[in-house]
Amino acid sequence: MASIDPLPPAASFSVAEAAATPGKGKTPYRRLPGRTAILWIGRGRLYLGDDHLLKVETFFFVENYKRFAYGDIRSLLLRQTARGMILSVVLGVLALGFGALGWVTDNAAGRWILLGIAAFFAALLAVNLVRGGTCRCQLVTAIGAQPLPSLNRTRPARRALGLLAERITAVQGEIPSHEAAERVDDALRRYSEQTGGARNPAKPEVVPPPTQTPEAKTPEERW
Amino acid sequence: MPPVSFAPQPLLVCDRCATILPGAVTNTFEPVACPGCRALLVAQVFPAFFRPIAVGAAAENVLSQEDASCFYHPAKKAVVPCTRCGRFLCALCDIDLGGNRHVCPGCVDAARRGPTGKQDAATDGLGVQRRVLYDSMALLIAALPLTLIFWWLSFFGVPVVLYLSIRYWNEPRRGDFPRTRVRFVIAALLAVLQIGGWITLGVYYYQRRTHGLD
Repeated sequence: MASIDPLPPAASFSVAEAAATPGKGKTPYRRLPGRTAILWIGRGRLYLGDDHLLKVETFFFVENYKRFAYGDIRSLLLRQTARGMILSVVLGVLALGFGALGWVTDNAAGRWILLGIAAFFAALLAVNLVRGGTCRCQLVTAIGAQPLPSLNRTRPARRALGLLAERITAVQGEIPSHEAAERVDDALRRYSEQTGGARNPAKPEVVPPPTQTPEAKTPEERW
Repeated sequence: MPPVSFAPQPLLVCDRCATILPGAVTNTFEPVACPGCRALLVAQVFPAFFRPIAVGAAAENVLSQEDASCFYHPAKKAVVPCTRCGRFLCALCDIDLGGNRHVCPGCVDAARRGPTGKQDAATDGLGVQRRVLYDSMALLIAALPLTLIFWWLSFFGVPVVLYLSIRYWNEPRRGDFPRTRVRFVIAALLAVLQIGGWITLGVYYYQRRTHGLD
């Protein structure tokens, strides 16, 4: 092979040119409901862009960004968890325990301290109950599944996924639910044939049964 | 080389028990029990779910003397020259940027590093992927000595805060989420206050010593 000249200066070439630059002081993103926070150390948020979903994770003083083009998102999955219920039980037991101890204590100062601690746990319990059930969400692309830790409460998660589904549908088009179910079953059947019938799950129980066909609602309303 | 679809089927999997979910679970928009772990799931699939997954191009071997070889893989057949440096590239090394632009990994790396040759912390050459919040850092360093537990941090913290505030003054205004510079302003004010405090303390002790009060 002929000799190669040294590389020209990189200033003439920048892949970053392809990235859209927002206006000064403005952001092209819309924040989605739901957030995660680990004290002051870590935070997570999701944002809707014009053509992609942006996942922002902050750890100490570093913000990390991950972008998912709407056209690349293959599926969204929400799984309800028992974490919120377990937390409620633990906080309830602590509130009741400290309350009972405060009730039976003769010392006036000790009583107020214990009742104060009980009130603190009761307040945490109330906040937990108001925030609603807990869940885990993930989006799936051709590369793999990506957890969405900011969507950890069912109510905001469903709202956020509804908004996200609306954008994805606008880009990819819509697939009727019965057709989606048939094609998933078809793929599962082919997979079972390939693997000799392994991992063929039983028919799932639907709880509660859908009262309205999903097609009657907008993508946002369905979630 | 055209992309090739491979046999694996599009399958939806429960993230808890890894059971493959049947069609009845998908696009119902109501919680449905996972057949494996009974966890309640809501799943939606989109048309992209059924799109065949394309595998990356495979480089062909050099078969004859006439075949040009890849600069990075001499045993592989070159398919395109890099539009930036002109090096011949095999299908494996070719990075197609669209618009008939093909670059090699070396040029992408050079673009990432920029004209200075240094790795840019804020970008990876494909848009901003991470951002360091220098303003929050400066504010924390300036505020910690005020808790008195970390008063000693003031000696080292004040220069650091002033350096961060001056060096990265424009940083909060950049990126996809521009921030105000209020954190830098508060941090700098706190740093100036701490300098004032140290000077006052020094003058006080100096006067006590010169007037023989100690």
